[in-house]
Amino acid sequence: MGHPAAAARFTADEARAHWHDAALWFVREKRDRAAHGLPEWEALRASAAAIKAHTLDHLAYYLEQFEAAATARGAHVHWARDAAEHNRTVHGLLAAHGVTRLVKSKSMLTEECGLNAYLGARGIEVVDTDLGERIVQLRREPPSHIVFPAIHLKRGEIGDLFHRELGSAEGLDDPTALTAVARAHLREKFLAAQAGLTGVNFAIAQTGGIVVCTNEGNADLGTALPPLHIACMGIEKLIPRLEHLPVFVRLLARSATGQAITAYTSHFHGPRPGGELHLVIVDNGRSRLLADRTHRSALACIRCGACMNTCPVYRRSGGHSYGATVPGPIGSILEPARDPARHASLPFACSLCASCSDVCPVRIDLHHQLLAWRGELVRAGHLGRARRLALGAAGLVLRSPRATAAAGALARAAARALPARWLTRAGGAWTRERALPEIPRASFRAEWRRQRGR
Amino acid sequence: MAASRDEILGALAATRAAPDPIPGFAGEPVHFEDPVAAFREALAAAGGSLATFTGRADLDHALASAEPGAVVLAGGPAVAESGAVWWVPRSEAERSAAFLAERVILVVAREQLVDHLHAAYQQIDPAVAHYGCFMAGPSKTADIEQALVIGAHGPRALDVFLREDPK
Repeated sequence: MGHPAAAARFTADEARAHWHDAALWFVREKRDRAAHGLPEWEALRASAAAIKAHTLDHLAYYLEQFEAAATARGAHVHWARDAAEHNRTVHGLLAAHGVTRLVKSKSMLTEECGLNAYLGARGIEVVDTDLGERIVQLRREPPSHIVFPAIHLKRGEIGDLFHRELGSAEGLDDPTALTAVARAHLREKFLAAQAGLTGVNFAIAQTGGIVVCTNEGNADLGTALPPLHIACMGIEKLIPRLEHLPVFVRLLARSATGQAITAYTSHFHGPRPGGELHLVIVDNGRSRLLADRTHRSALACIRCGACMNTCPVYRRSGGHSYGATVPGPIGSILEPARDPARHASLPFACSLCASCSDVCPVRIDLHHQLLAWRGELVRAGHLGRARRLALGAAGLVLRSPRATAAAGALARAAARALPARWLTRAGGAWTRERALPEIPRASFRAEWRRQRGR
Repeated sequence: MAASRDEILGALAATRAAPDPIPGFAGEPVHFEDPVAAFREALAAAGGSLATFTGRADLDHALASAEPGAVVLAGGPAVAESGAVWWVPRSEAERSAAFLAERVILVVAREQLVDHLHAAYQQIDPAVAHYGCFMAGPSKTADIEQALVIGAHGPRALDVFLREDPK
């Protein structure tokens, strides 16, 4: 199903669509206040963009530097070309340590690789410990947002879910009480876990360390108790030096939630005494994207979600309508690069308003890239048949002034003769929910000639 | 595995050159006339609270009368712009205790309060410890309908005790 069909299902519930829109706009406004509170905001964005561009230009150099520094601190570095190798590597580590219970903090990369299902099929219990992630995991659905995985759900639905899955009281819908239920449930899982898996927000080439940002402290609890820590990262997570870290940390939470910093910004350098730290570095299509001059800057993304919160299409159509690991504007650039046929509708789920580019903390030119993708997808033959025929016909007509005039005359006559209901239906999504304007008797060109001739 | 490493780095061969100038932060970071007030405000926004003490005696008294079960940690530097405090656990037991406790008290010296995060990173070397963390307030979540709830997994309360030594 393409984005338009999936979005139509979401917007069919008008009240929920409006509620979802307002929830995300609330986050967008918090982001604005945090950004405007810092006089050096634009300087931070410019520096972040320059540092990321520089890192991507020298990525192989920094990856090797990172590997050497991490290894020197006692971490084990693994490389995975694709999702399958990533999953095999993580499973191999868990199997070698006899792990059957794993706690996991948020990692969009493991979502991208389908790690949970892979490990589940091999007898390993994987518990997502971020509250939003745990909620969607219990519902057996993917996250709808990369920062707020359960933002599409209302408190009553979460109360029903917890009643069904965790045995909490029926009808509970107070967020504080629901969080307490999840806390007690997850505390047991933390204490029973034999390994902790985390994502990576930033990997520092100079020091060989990784940084993980959370508000809940779940990455900290998940790695403080069990002896085995596995961290999974895409090759694009690198930054050159420690001095670059504050630039990104200052931008990340302000852009994501409007906080000055997340509650926990945790730095890991090598394993704990007696424990093991394994870093799995994943390509999965990223090196191909890096070679693409038009779209390589999408690899600068720090996954703050600001482009989603501001996007008028995302806000009104919901994250699941994208059918992708990463939804919204940045997902509509990354996902077609992975699978153009499957995600061809995404770059068209955009009004080119450019709000995403305005809020992006690393200044990715998102709307330019979305427009570029449309051309690439059309040239590659991924436009649907109906749309291809319609645009082809429009091209023929508009190329000839005479054909355009004839088509206009025909349309004006038809619009006066036929019931409006037929016309709004024929126009599809362009005319649905809209009223027809008054149809003029003559064309603009005829009217122009008449008035000038007077 | 080694083959994958070579294949990935091979695909990135065009980016193998050593960098010459490395860009950094080109801006003027925020400055506070009253960093304690800024820190207090930022910490409150993060769900924590600040208490200030002059000299050892008051601080020791406050620590002695802290609720049982509160975990006391030595931290610093502290960051006025965000309410964050750098902390490196002294032991693995302290590390897990800081996340299992209901209340955390971070003790920081006044002279370790800096305006912004750039200055904080100039004073620390996270690489010398296998774990270190900037903490800003207690554990929290807004995953259910954007409602802020304190105490997602870790501490439900975080106090910073700022100690100023008499001149």
